[in-house]
Parts: sequence; C-alpha cells; structure tokens
Amino acid sequence: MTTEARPQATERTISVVVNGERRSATVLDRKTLADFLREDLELTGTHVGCEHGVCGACTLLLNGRAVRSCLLLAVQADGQEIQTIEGLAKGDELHSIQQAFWEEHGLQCGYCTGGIIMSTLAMLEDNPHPSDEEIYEVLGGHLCRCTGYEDIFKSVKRAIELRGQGR
Amino acid sequence: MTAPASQIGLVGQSVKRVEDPILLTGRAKHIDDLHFPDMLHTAILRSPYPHATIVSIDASAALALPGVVAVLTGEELVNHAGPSRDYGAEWYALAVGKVRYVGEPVVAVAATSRYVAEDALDLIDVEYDPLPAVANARQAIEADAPRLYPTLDTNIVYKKTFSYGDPGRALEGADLVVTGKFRIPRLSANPMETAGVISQFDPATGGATSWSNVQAPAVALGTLVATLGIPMDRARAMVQPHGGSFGSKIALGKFIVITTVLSKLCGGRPVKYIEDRIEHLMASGSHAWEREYDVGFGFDRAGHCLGWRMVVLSDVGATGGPTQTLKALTCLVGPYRVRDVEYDITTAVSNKGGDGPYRGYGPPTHFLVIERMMDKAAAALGLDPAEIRRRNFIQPEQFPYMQPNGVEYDSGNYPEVLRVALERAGYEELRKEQERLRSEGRLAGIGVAFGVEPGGFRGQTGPYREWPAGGSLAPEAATIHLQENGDLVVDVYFAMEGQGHFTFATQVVAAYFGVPMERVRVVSAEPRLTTPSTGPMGSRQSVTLTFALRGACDLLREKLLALGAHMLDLPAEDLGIRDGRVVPASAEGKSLSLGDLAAVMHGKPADMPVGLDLDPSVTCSWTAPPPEDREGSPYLTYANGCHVVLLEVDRETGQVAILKYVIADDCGTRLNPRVVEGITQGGLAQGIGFALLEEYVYSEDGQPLSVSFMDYLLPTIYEVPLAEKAAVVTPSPATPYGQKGAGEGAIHVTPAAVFCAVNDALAPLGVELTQAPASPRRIWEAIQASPSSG
Repeated sequence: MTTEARPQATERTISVVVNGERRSATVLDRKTLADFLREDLELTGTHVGCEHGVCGACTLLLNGRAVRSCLLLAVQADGQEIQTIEGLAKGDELHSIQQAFWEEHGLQCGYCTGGIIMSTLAMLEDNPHPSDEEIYEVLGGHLCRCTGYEDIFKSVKRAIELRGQGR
Repeated sequence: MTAPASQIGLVGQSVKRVEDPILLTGRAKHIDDLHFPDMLHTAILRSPYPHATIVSIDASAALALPGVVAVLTGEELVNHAGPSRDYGAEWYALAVGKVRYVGEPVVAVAATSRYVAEDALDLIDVEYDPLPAVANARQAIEADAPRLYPTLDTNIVYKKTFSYGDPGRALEGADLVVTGKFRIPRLSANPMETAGVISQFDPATGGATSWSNVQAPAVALGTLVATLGIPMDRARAMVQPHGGSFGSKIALGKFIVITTVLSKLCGGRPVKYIEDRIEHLMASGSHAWEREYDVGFGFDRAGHCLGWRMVVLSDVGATGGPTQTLKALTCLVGPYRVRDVEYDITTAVSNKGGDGPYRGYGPPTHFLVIERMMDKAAAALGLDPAEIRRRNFIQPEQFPYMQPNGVEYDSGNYPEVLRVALERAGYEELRKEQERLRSEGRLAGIGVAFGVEPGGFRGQTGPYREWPAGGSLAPEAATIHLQENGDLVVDVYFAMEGQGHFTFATQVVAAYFGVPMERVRVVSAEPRLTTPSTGPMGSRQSVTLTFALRGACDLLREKLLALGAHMLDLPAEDLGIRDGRVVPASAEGKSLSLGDLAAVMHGKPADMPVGLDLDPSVTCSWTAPPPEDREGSPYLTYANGCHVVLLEVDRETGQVAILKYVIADDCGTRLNPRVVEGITQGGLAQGIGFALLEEYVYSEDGQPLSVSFMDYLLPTIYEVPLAEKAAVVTPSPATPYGQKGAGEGAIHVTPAAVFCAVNDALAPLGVELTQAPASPRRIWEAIQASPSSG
C-alpha cells in the first residue's frame, strides 16, 4: 500500500437557503448534503438510514422537490433552497402533516418519519388530492421497520383531509 | 394483583402518544445527533476474509495522516479490555491473532472526522494468511472441520436433547406420522437507525461514560465494568432515543469497548462510532435464526397430535450461542395439548457474521415448523387446516396450563381466537374464492396459523437456566418525583424506541393519581447500577414496567396519605386519592391537592411536620418473584394470535400477491389499543419480510453477498398487506390490568401463515416449499420441478 499521491481534500464556500434562512459555509467537496446539514448546520432532524439511497430517511426538499440528501453533495445544493423537517412546525404548532401523523399513530420509533413527511409534503404541494395509488407510489420509496406502513398510509390520508380544511 | 377500578381511568384508551411531538419535529436527539467539543470519530477496518490468520498489521501511514489521533489494533486492545465469552468461545472487540468472519473489526481509527478516519483505513496494511473456512453448520459439525476457537475442541457450542413424556412411543403408536425438513434463512432486525456509541474515558478518575442507543442499558453498564474494568461507581451508560432496535441493539459491547479504549488512548477525548448500513448488514452481530429442522409428528386418525420430535441444527456464525433456539422451550407445544415431545438442539459456530437477538427470539421459526406440520397432517387426513387446530387446542378451562416441560401458560382462549379470526376472514367464502381462482387455473392458497407469545420476560429461569448467566432475574425500575407544583415526573431507565412505553407509563401513573396526562411527564433517566433495571426485551415492558410504576405509585401514595393525615388531622386509613387530591373516604370535608402536599414536601411551610418521610421522590425496582426452584417459565404472560391469509402465486414469475390478511389477537387487556394495533401491523411486516424477502446469502466460501438494501430486501408498503385486526380479550391473572406482553406477537405467526398459504397454493402442483423465504426464484424453481408443469 502506498501513501503518496493521495488527492488533497478540496473545499469551497457555498450558500444555501435552509428553511427560509440564508446560510453560508465552507465545506469539503466530498461532503454529502446530509452530513453538511447535520454537522455544519446542526440540523439533525434529517436522519441517515442507509447512505445508499434506498431507505428514504434522509429525504428533504431541494427547490421543492423531494431528494435523498445522502446521495447529493453539499456543493450540489449551492445557491438553492432547502426545506428540512425542522422547518415545518411554526413554534408549538405542528404542520398539518405532522399533526396527521400524530393523530393516526403514523410513527413508532420516528427515525424514518421526517423523510416520509417531507416526501408527503412534496407530493401534496404538487397534487393536493392524490389517489391511493399515487400515495403508494410515494410511500413505496420509503422503508419503515416499525409500523408496517398501515398507519403511515392513514396519516397521509388524514393529512390530505386536514389540508382540505385549510390547515 | 388486580388494579382497583379507580386507578384504571386512562389505561386501556387509545390516547395519542406522548413521544410523538419531539419525533415529528426532528428534535429528538438520537446518538448520531450528539456532538461534543473535541470529539473524535471512529472508522473500523474490517476483515475481508471469512477465516484467516493475521500475520502483521502496519498502521504507521494511517497514524501519520493529518487528523488521525489514534489507531487501535486487537493486540493493543487486550491491554485494556477483556474478552467476550459465550458457551466456551472467547473473542475480543477487535480481532486478535485471527479473523473469523468477513466484517470482523480488525483495526479502529480515531480521527477528527469520519471522512478522515475512513481515509486512514485505506492506509492500513494488514497481511492475512487465509485459513479454510467453515461455511455453514453442516460443515462445522464434521469431525475434520477447521476449528474456530482454540478454547473449544469442536465447533459445536451447545448440544442437548430435551425430551418430555415418551415421544418414541407416541410416534410408534401413531396412525399417521408426517415428517418434514425445513431450512430457515439467516435474517436480522435491521432497524432504520444503525448502532451508535460515544465513549469518554476520564484519565483523572479512571471512570468512563458511554452514550449510546443500546436497548438494554444494564448490558452497557456490564460491558464497562466487566469487560473494561471501569470501577462500578465511575461507570456511566447514558441512553439516547433509538431509531428502532427489535433486539439488535440489546448488546453493543464491541463498540463500547473500541470507543472507550480509543478515548483512553486519546487522553480522554470523546470518541464516536456510528455503524454504517453496510457494516450493519455484514457484521452487526445480530444475524438470527439460520436453522435446519428435521421433524416427525405423530397423529391419530381423528387428527389429534400425539407427539413430535424436532431436531434443530443452528448456525450462529462466528459468535453466538443457543439462546434463541432455547426460547422455543418456553412455548414448546405452541397452542396444542401435546405431552410427548422431543426438542434436540445442536448449535454450531461458522465463519459468518455473529448471531444476536431479533424480535421474537426463537418462536417464529418454531411455529413455522409446527404450523406447517399441522397442515401436512390435515392434508393427509382430509381435514380442514382450521379443524385440525381446533381439535388440538389447549382448552380455556385448562389454564393455567402446565406444558410437559414445566413451563406454564397463564391464560388464553384459543378456540375463541380461532373462531374470531375465521369469522372476520369470512373463511368459508375465502375457501370458495380459492376454489374459484383454482378453477381458473390460478394458484391460490390459504394459510391459517396460530402462535403463542411469551411476554413479560422476568429473567433467566426455566429453560434459560441454560444461559451462561442462568438463574439471574431481570428487574425493572421506575422513579416518581412529585414536583413542587404537584405535577409528577417519572424516570424510566431505558430509552424511547418506538413501542409507546412512555405513553402507557403516563397513562398508568396519571390514572393511579387521577390526574390529567398533561400533569405527568415520563423521561429517560440515567441507568444506574444502584437502581437495578433491565430495559425492554422479551415483550416485557407492558408487564414489568407497569409493575415498577405501580410499585412507585404505591410508595408515593403511602407518603401522601401519611402527610395528608397529619395535615387534615384524620387517620391515614380514612384517606384515599382521587382526582389528584387526598380526600377523606367519606368524600366529605377538607381535601388536599397534590400541589398542597408537594409544597410541604419541598419545604415550603416553616411548620414542617416532624417524623414523616417527606422525600418527594420514590423508586421501585421491581423483580418478578422467581418460580419455585427457578424451573418455571421465564415469562409471566402468554398472548396468542391467529392469522388467516389468502394469497396468490404467479405461475409465471413465482411472485406472491397477498389478497387478504386477517389477524385475531389476544394479548389480554390492551393498555393502549391503537399502539398495540400499530405494533401488530409492524410485526406482521417483519414477518412478511421473513416469509417472502429477507435472507443473508453467503457464497460457498463464506463471503457475504447481501450487504446493501439492494440485496437484503426489506418489505415496502407494496409487500405488506394492511391487515384487518380483531381483538379477543382474555385478561391475564398475573398482571394488574390483565395485560400481556404484546410486542412480538405478530412476527411469531406471520411467517407460518404465509408459508402455509404458499404451500397450499402450490399443493395442486404436487410440490412443497421447505425453505424460507418463499422468494420468486424459489417458488418458480418449485413450480418447474412439478410433475404437472411438464
């Protein structure tokens, strides 16, 4: 094994808007978006479950689209807008999707929940009245080991209802 | 034992969980969310070989990399930590001298970031001399097989035959003997959050603290004291909320050892290690249930089971023992009145990832075998699968029921659970639907399966006397603090992990004192060796934590009544607690709120009564009284359930589609029915994974092939049926509210139900599936082997 010719880690300064707030930081080029949020911005609500893009726990919104932050580099988010689970509740008041998950027991350990809520948000922003098949398609991209999905499905249905009531 | 009606109130109601707001908003602090000043990060170099001698390790280049603070090898580790031992095998947190499985930790690096630590791994040069590998238990038990451990002159770590009654005679005298061979895959819990630990050694005192997502804090404290030699009074094990565990985080010993030793080498800086998913899949040490069964069951003409023989060969990988296989002894006969049974266990080590607990711990495979054999007998005798079960059930009037091995079931009504399941499934219609599908040439199958669920784990009694620490009991503790304003703070000594423990604890305490739930706050307190407590495992907390909570409530009540008696000038016997107040039994005259009493206990008035115990905190560490001679059941309650499934197998692809799924479940009184249903659905999902998808595949030479979520398939919403669920309630006589442990019920039965249904679907083709999971490939191959598929 050799020690020479290791590429030097390079870094650059990026600027992103996270949950409505502009944040700038100098990050390593190779740092994932998930690690950047969790370590540099101390937004630890974005959870890392598999680091290979399968489980969906780290899902957040990049310019309104649901993406897996373990598969993106922080530098790829430069100049863009990010929404994470921390940005949803207004003070003590839960976002309607969070409220729906609470009412319908849509979580157990809660580790995958943030990602599922962010995917649900992206779906509902796009399509406020998804069919069951469309809900399945979105939830089908998330792994949950606790709930067996039933109460997650019910929570999404409830979130649609609450949203319809203007919440 | 039974709680008075006045204390039941909220218990049994589907209140929303108190755990949720912090989880829903992303504010819960999981282990990887903690960051300490000056903290270092660990990466672990793992063995690429299943079995090899370590010739040399050169880590000098890694140590020279900027940002790397320490490099730890097994050779250095043994100067700071002892080995782990299990049934004669002995190993260290980092390999010493040789490696025994792919993924075994060999060198650990502490650096200023995980990125740098992983860079450093590339700079470590390990020279291995490969040894012949033992790929499975069959090879392991061969006389000339390579040996894994020098401390053992065999690869068999445990072998014993448990025989009750006269199984030989039962089988010889039977009208029908059905035999079967089954292969159960290696699988694991795979919670969405992997294992994680931060450890900090204190060079000034020789103490150490670990923060982790360990499921059983007592095990973490035990590691610090017994393995690392940290003095008892200076060993601290803090617990963070878990992203699920299901057994996989009961023991995180090797990571606690590695990070603590690294911290010591780094002058006491905190050292973090977070397992990544690939490491978890490859070498979590929580692979489970790889077994072969060879069984014979005897029946009379009427379908009564007369007895059976089960021979089980378990492959526990490089580290592990028979404990999960032994659990079958606690529910040996399942729901059936069978007296003559033999259970023969051989447990062997092999060069694969180590074995560890997974939800259910043993019964899921046991019931898969029993239920499939019931179906085979039913088919041979021309009986309906539901009918043969009905004929063999332990009857409601036989409870408490003593199994032939002296392990008692507390209560149950199995015929009623079966009846409700069949009714909810519309069983007769379901059979007609199956006929209709079959007449169209489609492969439709129905499974009806039953299981019992040992719950309320009390300790290593009965069959668990075979464990290395056999005989020890499992206390659980709770502390209640009466705040100055009269609100109650409840300390429990384990972390939040998904089952709603904090919610039902709130319900129990609020109901006891008659206060709204908002006035009770349950928190995870630091587990202490001075407050014996175990944590969740073996479907125990709805039982054991409840006993601890009520014990603490009783202690506080006694103090409140004594103080109330003093303040109201009435005898304590004439006082009671209602709606958060100490009131005279007559309900007339003056009463005191919890706040009034709390103020005195917190020293507010100057005229503090003399001679009364005014400490506003009480602790109860509750231990279930052991059964006589400790030979009885390690479990206080036995829930049970029946699953009915209709599914279709695609003839062309081997794919299974579940068309209907019904669960009837009797876990006694449900402390929070919504939570129980959620847990049942979750157990069902894991059971579907077992039955249809999950399997750790190894190559013939011991290389793991399922090391990503692309290869190890967890069920998604598309695979998991949204089951219809019915509750039967047979209260347990052993618990205050009649509740029974309920966390593992569904996974006990789902694999059996689905496996039976798949075989029912294949029956017209004259083929049988004997190996789980029933993956499309396996089913397709079975279909191709059918004489009728030509």
